[in-house]
Amino acid sequence: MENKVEDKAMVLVLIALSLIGVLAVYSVDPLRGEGWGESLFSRQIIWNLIGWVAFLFFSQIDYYQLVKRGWLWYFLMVLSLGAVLIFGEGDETGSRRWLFSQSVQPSEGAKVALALFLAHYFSEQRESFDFWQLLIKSGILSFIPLVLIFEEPDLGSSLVLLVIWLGALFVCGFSAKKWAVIGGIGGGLLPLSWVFLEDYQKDRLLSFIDPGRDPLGSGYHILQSQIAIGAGGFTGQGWLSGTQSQLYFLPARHTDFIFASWCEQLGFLGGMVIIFLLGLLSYLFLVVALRSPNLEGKILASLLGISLIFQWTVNIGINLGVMPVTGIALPFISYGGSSLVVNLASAGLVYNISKSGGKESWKLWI
Amino acid sequence: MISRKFVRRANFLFFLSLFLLGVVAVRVFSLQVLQGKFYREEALSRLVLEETLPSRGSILDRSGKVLAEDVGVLSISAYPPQMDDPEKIAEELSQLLSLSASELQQKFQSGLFWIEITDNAPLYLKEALEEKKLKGISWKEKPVRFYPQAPLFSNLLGFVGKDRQGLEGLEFAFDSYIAGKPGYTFYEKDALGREIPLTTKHLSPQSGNDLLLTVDSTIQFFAEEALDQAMEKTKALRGVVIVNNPQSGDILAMVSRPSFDNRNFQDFPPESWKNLAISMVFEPGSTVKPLVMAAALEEKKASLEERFFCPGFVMVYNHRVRDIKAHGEEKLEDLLINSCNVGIITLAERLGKDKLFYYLKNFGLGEKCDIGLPGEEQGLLRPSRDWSLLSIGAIPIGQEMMVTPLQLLRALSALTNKGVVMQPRLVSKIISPTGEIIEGFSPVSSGEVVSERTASLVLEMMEKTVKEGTGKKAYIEGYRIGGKTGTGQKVGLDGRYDPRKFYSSFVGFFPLPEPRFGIIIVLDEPQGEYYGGDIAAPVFREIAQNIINYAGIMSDEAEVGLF
Repeated sequence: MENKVEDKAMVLVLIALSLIGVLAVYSVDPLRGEGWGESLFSRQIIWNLIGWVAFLFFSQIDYYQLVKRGWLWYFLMVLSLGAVLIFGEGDETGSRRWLFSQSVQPSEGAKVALALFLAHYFSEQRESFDFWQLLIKSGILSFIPLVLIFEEPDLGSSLVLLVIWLGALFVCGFSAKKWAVIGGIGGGLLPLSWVFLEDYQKDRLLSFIDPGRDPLGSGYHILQSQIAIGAGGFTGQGWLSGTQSQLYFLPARHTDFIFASWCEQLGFLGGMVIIFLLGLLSYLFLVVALRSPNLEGKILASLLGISLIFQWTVNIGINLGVMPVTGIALPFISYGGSSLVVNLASAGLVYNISKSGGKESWKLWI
Repeated sequence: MISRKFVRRANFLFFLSLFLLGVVAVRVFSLQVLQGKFYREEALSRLVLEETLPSRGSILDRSGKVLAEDVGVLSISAYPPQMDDPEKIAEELSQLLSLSASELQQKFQSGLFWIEITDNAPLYLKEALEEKKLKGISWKEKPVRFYPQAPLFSNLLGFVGKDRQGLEGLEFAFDSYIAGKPGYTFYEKDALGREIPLTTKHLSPQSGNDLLLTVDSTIQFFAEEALDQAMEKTKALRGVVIVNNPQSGDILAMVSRPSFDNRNFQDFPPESWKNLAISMVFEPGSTVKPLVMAAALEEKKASLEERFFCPGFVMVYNHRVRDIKAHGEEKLEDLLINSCNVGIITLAERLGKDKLFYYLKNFGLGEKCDIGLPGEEQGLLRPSRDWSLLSIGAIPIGQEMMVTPLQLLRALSALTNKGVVMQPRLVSKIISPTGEIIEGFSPVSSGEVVSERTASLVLEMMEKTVKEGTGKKAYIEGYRIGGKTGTGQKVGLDGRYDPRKFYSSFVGFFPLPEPRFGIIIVLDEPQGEYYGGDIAAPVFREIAQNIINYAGIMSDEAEVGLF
């Protein structure tokens, strides 16, 4: 299977995204002057280096061996998420998301672990599967980590897990009729979920519907972010300028709202560069899924692709004020070590799937 | 073999992501491009700005003497509701500021919440104020413009307005260099307009650059004194003196009357703010004759040995142009020494109108000097194709043309500089607050008009003009001075020459043969005597004598005595 061009393109896109990430973090780094090791952008560089080591590692190993051990990853995931709830450390947002003195966020790793597990679990059923049985079993298994993350609370990451599970159901071939049933049940349950939401999450949802409801409280993010992006205009206000991001109006401007600060500085053109690169990367992930001759590779690549698409569209959607604030980082660009390393590692896996294409003649599915 | 179903699903995902991508792109476009302006204004409206004034650059004369600088003053204000003991505070303040205590107390009790007490208290009071800790009294330091030499240089320097922007003269022309950049304090405000402390961002002001001029304060003083005396004596409406170094083009002094005091410019009529050295246009009269002489010599239309005869008038196209008197038989040099209209018109006719125009234009008449000051006039020298048949009898004697004093000085200075016209230079360097030279201006020539030999021949004739001709009153014993007088009639309201209104002028250079100083004096409508040789030449003499003493120029006799 010849896919050299796509492989090269993927690496180039990833390098470009890494560089943009460092630049973007630098441009809004509140500790820019603090020097190496202290400043956020220098840490972003270090995380990038670690991430690229992870990329190389995951692109070289035999990914089939990883998928085969799906249950192992599943249990490790549940264990570490449980550990977070018991021993976890809080951060400034009041959520408990961290292990090992705020260095590891297991919820990030859970995104890949669940994709690996589901790739294994669904491909095991390739011969024959019972729709309802599989739906319920995989649903229960997926909801355990999902609920654990939701309890931290980290609405964004739990939504990513939900989407990965739904994506697995989708790519594994449920018919439209069955999707309608699932949609109906989900839609019916949606109002119920209101009960489980934390107050601040409810606030965010209400503010999404009406940002003017509380412009200095929960609607603040949405308004400031829209102002920042809008103020950027077509060509931006210039590198390291722009009042919204440079004068601290924009909250979380190096993490969840990094797209807004990037757009304020570099305008529509700058924003389009990021959107183009992420769109191209998503396309490449799906192309790999399409071309992979074995089921494990297909499912894994498409799940990682779906997870990527979901994360960047939702993040940018939040930045643009077209989606409610849920706390999802912009892949490869937002400041944050765990997310960056996990994203580069998943890219490594997809690269691996693409590269090792028809190496072994595993049994084809369907 | 690839499953067709999987292809369909993957395609669905493609379209889904393409759709999402489209939604995102449209939204970004709408926010940034369609509504960008609205959001940019919104972003700015959320900022509170406080301006910190920058310190404006100084203006220095050629030796570094300060002509304009910024000094700090205190503006002091009162907030009566905070005062514990208004009586005592009024007492203390009155001592510091030498104001009446009872008046101050009255102000405090007037019921106003905020009172400005003074906005130009000297800076040293700050310590006393800090020590006394008067309740309800606050002060702020701010820079104001100070002109140590004022009213000297007022027309040249101009002034700054209330917002500290340069409004006239050099302050206006070089505002972008000397103004500096204001500093800002930004802070975020909440819905109630309160400052949110941790959001404050401070941007320090940037001081402006200094201007180093070519002028000399002492020579300026001589020139201003001499012109003031002449204005008083002749009751002239307007007057100009410019002193330059004719070989480099450097302006050493520039005086314009009527003048004003730039420390309180608003007390003077705007007419007096003008710098007439570059904005007054006048008919130069005989002062252009050396230029015609130079052109004739350069074109070999006359020789030194030639004899001319002046019957007291000359016919130009059936028109009689009168001279002041019948000069009789004259040598070539006598045409300048006597300022003989007949002879000069004869030379002009030999040159022809095209050549005459060519030379006068190249000497820079009717051409702006672009010295960088606001309000410069161009003057007028019509091209030869527009001349009337009578023009050849008017232009060589300085009529039918308008020049500025600076243009005329520039043109004649070329005769002292081997026939090369030098552009006037007023600013030599722009220096940053850290002492770096941001821009340096070197003397610039605009080309050779006549040969070195021609120039020195004409200069010698001008020397004789001062020694034995119409410029005698400019003569200083023991010094070689070259000069030329001029008396131009003014055109009245009816468009005819008014027989009672004149421009009197004199241009002179010393010490010959390589003059370091050139002076032009122009007086507009002197009363009584009006010949340039009678009223402008003595002003030259006065200034030149002072410069000779100041610059320590040896007289030729003294030099002879050395041997």
